[in-house]
Parts: sequence; structure tokens; C-alpha cells
Amino acid sequence: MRWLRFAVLVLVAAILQTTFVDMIWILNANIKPDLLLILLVFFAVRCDPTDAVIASFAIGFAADLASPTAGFMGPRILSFGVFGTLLNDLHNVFAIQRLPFQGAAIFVMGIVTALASHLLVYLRAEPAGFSIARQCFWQPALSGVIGPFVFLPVGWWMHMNGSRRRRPRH
Amino acid sequence: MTGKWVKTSKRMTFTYCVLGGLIFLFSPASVTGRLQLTYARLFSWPLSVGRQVTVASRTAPVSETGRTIDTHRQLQDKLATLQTQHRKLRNHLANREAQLDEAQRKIDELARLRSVPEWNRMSFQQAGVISLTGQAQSELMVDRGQDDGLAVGQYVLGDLSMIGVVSAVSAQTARIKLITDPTSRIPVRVEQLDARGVMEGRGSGTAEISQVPARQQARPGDRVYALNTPGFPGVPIVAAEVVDSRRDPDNPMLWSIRVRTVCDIANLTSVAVIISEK
Repeated sequence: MRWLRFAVLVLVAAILQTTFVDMIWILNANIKPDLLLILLVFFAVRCDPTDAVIASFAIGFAADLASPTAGFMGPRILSFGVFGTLLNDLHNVFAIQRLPFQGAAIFVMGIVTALASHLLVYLRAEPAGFSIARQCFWQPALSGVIGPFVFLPVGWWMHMNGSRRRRPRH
Repeated sequence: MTGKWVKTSKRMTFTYCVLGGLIFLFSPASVTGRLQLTYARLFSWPLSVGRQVTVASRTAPVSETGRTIDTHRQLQDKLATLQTQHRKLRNHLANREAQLDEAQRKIDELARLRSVPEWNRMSFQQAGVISLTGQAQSELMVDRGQDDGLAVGQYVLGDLSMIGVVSAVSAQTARIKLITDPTSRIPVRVEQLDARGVMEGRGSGTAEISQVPARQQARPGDRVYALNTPGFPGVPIVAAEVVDSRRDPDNPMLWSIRVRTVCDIANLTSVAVIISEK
């Protein structure tokens, strides 16, 4: 794992998420793809288990840092970290290699991480506003559509084009 | 040994990371907020450039949108003007309709008066109620006066019942003393009892017939008719209805009957003044 490249990539994605991605919206300005979610799925699918855990939590940290959900950090660190790790484990059971499956994985991850973040916010404060349609459907759906195509340049940058092989069963 | 990575299992890494996440989650907002501010300060340049580009990209279509909005506003202004004109015309029409209704109502009222054969001999002057006055709300001001043939002592009908007499008159207006006025005295007959008496006003929409010689008690709702007096039409006209009755404390053979008008005087808008017999 090239951690420096990873750091640059996550940083750029975090900055893009709060700036240029605002230009890419469909239906309304609040529905835009989540680049960090796409990266989460990418690294969960293509990294080794330990690297995937670290990458997932790191991406969650970047997500919380760049666009805090409720004025404090933590919800997305935990939700991204936990579900990124779970996805990595799941990938050991069946490979997520085809584009539609990758899109579906992004979609599902978007839903579960949004819900988990929302629930975790409850531990600290009353959530400000949660649009189920937007955060649990439109945003993951848009990310799921765009995500597989983002995988190509990201894979090129990380020298990770080509999915990680499934762990051999004994 | 130096320079070697310490191998940590996935499970331990996961545990550490979760602990780290929990620490962040429960850290004071001031601490995590400082981290976020540091991030924003460190990357203020790319963030601001990105924001400017984003805003600029939105500005271009905004000018196009702005023209559309301007056109929309102009249309809205026109619509508002048309709506105002429409409202004025509608009010004008409503006023005309009301005037027509009022005229029709007067015609109907007079036609009803004419429907009683005996009243054909009489002449009526329709008068609009200006206000209900007097300390006990027992006087009416009407918009007809001497010029219209009104004179003191003429009887006044409201809703085809006798409600009072003209007590004062000027050229254009007149004052009507209602039968409930404390100074009002009108000879009446309680129909069901076939007993006569003098109805004295008590104010507040009520009157009392004192010392009524009757063998039985009047029942609530029994009709009270005004009796023939000079200037009166010569036909019985209902004036009130019985509210309750009680024996006279001085003479148990006599009754005191409390009555009220059969006309809703408070909501009366016009009255008919009996001018004279033809």
C-alpha cells in the first residue's frame, strides 16, 4: 500500500468533495456524489485486510474533517471504518469485480454508513437534519453510478488496477 | 530490528481504530472543532479556489436564470394589477347586487304587508334602521322623517310584528320608542287567556303585563296582541310572546306576565311605519 499516495488521494477527494463536487448535482443541489464513499469501497475491495481497516478509518476521518455532520467528529470515522472492514471481509467470501456489483456495493455502503452515522450522532447530540431520501437513496445512488468509473483513475494513481485476489480457502 | 514494521493483526488494528473513533466521537467539540479549523486553514487556498470556481460556474447560468426571473416578476406584477382591477370590479358588482337585493327585499316586504287584506287600507313607509339607542337599548333611529310622512304616535312594524311607536321626528330621521322601553305603555291582549292588560316596558328586550285577571296561568310562548287604539290599523297585530308568569304578590287573583318581543330587534335592518288609514 502506498500510503503517501493514499494520503494525497484522500486529501484531494476531501477538498473536491467540499468544492468541485458541488457543481455535480442532479435534481437538487444537495444531491451529489460522495467521493470519499467511493474511495472507501475502492480500498475495502482492493486492499489487504489490515490496510483496508486503516484506509477505511482514515477515509472516515477525512470525511469527518472535511464535512462534519453535527459539529463534532467521530460518527463517520466509526461508520466508515466498521463498514469498510465488513466489506473487506465480505470481499473474501465473494469478489466484487464487475462494475454493476461495485456500483451496488457503493450504493449499499452509502445507505448503511449514512444510517450508522446518523445513529452515532444521537450519542452526542440531536441530529440537525436528516433527509432519508437524499442521504439514504439519492446520494448513494449517484455515488453508485459514478463510483465504478472513478475506480479507474484511482486504481491508476494507486497502482492498484486489478482486484485483490480472494483469500484461498483451506 | 530498527526499521522493521511491527506487524499488527487486522483485529488489533480494527480495535485500535474503533477506540480512536470513539475517542474522537466523545471528545469535546472544541477540540475536534480546532482540528477542523486547522484543516480549513491549512487548505484554505485550494478550498477557496474551488469554492470560487464552483460559485463562478453557478453564476453563469444565474444570469440566464436572472432574466427568466425578471420576466417572471414582470408577469407577476401584471398579474397583481389585473387581480386588483378584478377585485375592484367584483366589489362594484357586489355593491350593485346588494343594492338590487335591498330593493327587491323592500318590494317583498311591502308585498307581504299588502297580503293582509285589512292592511290594504293602510299606507306604510319603509324605513331603514340607523341604530339601536337608548339606555336600555329600547329606541330605534330610522332614516325616514317628517319629509316622508312620519309623525309622532305612528305605530311601527318590524318583521310584521308591532315593535313600537314613533316618539320623535325630524325632517330626515325619526326615533321609535320600542315596546320594551321603560316608558312604553300599550294596551294588549293575551290571546290564549283572553285577558287584557297594559304592557309596560322593562328594557333589555322584555316587558311586563301587570295585574292580568286570569283564571289560569299563561304559558311561555303564548301570543300577545296589541289592542286597537287611535291610529292603530284596527286589526290584531302580534306584539310579544309570554316568557313566564307569576301571581301578583298583592292580589293572588291577578297575574304578572313577563313577555318579550317576537322580533329580533337587535338584527333588524328595516321597519315599516304605519302612516295613516286610507
